[in-house]
Amino acid sequence: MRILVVEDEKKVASFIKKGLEEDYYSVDIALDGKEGSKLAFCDEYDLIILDIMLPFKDGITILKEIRQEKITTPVLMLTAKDGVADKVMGLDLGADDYLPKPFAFDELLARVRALLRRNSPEKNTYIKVSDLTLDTRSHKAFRNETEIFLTPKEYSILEYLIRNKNHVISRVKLSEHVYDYHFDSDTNVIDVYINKLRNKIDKGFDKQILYTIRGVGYTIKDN
Amino acid sequence: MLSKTFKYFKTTRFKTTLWYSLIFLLLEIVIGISIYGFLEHNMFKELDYSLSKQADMIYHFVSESKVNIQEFKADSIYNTPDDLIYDLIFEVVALNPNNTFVQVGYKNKTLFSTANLKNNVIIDPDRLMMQSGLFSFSDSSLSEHTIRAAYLYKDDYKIIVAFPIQIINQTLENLIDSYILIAPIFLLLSLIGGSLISFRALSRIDKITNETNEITAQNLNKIIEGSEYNDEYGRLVNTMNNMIKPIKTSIDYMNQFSISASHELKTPLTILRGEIELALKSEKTPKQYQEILQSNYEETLRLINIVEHLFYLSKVDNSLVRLNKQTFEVKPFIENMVNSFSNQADEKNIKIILDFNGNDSLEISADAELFKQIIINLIDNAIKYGLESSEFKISCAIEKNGKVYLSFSNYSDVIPEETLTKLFDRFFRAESSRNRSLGGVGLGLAIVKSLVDIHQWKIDVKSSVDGLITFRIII
Repeated sequence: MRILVVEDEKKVASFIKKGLEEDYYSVDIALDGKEGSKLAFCDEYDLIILDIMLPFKDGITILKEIRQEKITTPVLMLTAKDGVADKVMGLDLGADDYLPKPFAFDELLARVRALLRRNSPEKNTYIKVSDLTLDTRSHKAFRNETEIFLTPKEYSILEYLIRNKNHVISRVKLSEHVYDYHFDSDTNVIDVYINKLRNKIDKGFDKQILYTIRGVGYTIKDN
Repeated sequence: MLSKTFKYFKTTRFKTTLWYSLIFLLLEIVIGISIYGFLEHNMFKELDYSLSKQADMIYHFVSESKVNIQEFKADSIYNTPDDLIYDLIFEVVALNPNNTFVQVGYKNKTLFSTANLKNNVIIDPDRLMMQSGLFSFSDSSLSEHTIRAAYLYKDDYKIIVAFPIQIINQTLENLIDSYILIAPIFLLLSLIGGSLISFRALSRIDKITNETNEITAQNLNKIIEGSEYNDEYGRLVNTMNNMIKPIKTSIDYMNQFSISASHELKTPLTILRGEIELALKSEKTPKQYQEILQSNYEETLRLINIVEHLFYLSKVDNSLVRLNKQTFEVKPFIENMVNSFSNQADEKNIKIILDFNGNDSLEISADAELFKQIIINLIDNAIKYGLESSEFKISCAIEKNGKVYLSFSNYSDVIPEETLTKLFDRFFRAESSRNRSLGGVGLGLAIVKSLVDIHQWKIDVKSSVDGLITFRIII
């Protein structure tokens, strides 16, 4: 899952990035409103964490703009302003959640998880496909009660595929959602990870769930 | 119920009514006494005048021997001298003859007295000439009389004319009676009138009180109605409305200030909390821990810096900073400050120029500590936000009106006209993220402004299109 953090305070942005990366998210940082707005428009993110007071362009303006362009990416507003009016305005303009500073990092992570599962039928930290279960909180994978040990990248790829189950995901799209913008998507690194992943989740089990769609990409199927 | 009654006794309405009634009652008593006194005085004066006039007339009548009483002879009309005198006297007497006592003496001998005196004799008060006096005599067989008598001594004649004053007393008593009767009605009327007047007068006070009660810190925009009346209440309402405005301004200012202050404090706190939580979440390498601690340390210093600035400002705001004025030369003082900044200036290759236009030995009277703070903050500001390899000029000029202009000019990013005045606002930064990284708190210029205000000086700021920004202190 790829997250955009728009925050002018370098250190805040930096620890949010570090913390989210520890939880297997890939994170991009924008330090001002202009860059934040540019990134939000150009790249595909699964979540945007947006500060309100930003140089050049404030968070409220960015929020308005992306919602006008029908970008429905969940937005978590993050700000030192915690007046009711600010919260109401942010939420009414299309923010999905609001977290006042200073916040507990665990709460930020929980809210991120909650926003990411917003469109899925599972309303807890577990996401499932067939008999494969992913605990998005502890980042553990199980198949029929058997724990499967995954590396952070493997986990990220699996999570993205499960969240978009029954859809075919291209290599480019997959790399966009599991890597930050420093990643060069031309390499065949994704194929290598998919192979490793297939060995771990499908090998030795009766039912195959991870499929390669030749020339298009990959998909995880329910049945 | 009882406490409510007690409460009513304490109201201005009750007190006003009471005072009103009291004054009304006192006025009534004073008027009553005056009328009584005036009436009594006038009635006796009239009586005295009338009695003495009669005495005079009787004297003339007797002395001019129109009738010789001593040689009276009974005839068909008058049997006794009494009859004659009675008739004669009452030709000239205006008072009720039945109530008038007349006694005429000649050489220590009573010549004549009216029948209504019976055997009584009006006692002679041994006075000469016409006089009047009040005294009483009694007759055991008759009722007790108090009379007013006029005495006339002339040519051996002694004429006394007297009249009982019961009638006068009766009139005066009637007056008192009617007053006693009227008094409670008066009192009742004054109570009703008083309470009506105080109700009318005070109902507007109640209205003002109610409206004022509705004003809270949240709705200071509310205006108390009734300021259009040009009376005491109108003025009161006006005064209160005028009082609310500056309160609103300062509350708005305080709100803005506390929002800014908390925002400013929240940033380092967010960083501290986030970094520490992250450090505790999973094991890190010693190098990572060191980085986190270093960052935590920086943020702690930032917090201390903000808190110290805030504390200083609040001290200035609450006038806890005492002005300890002394006279000193400005140039060496500023030179000293400039020297302490030479390292920072060199780092950015900023050239500091001191130009005093020949006023090198100028002395000013100021608090040296506070003046130092002003100069340090301005120099710090100029170097922090000044462009690299630019000039920073401190100059001094004395105007014809004797005012000293101390200017601090440096080149920085162009600051729009509308943000110029905000430079002195607390926590204001011309550009938020960039300047925060320079370690500024956004309070330096606010402190300068407060300290200049304490000295009762002025400070202004100008900028030109090429980015030259000039702070000018007018001493």
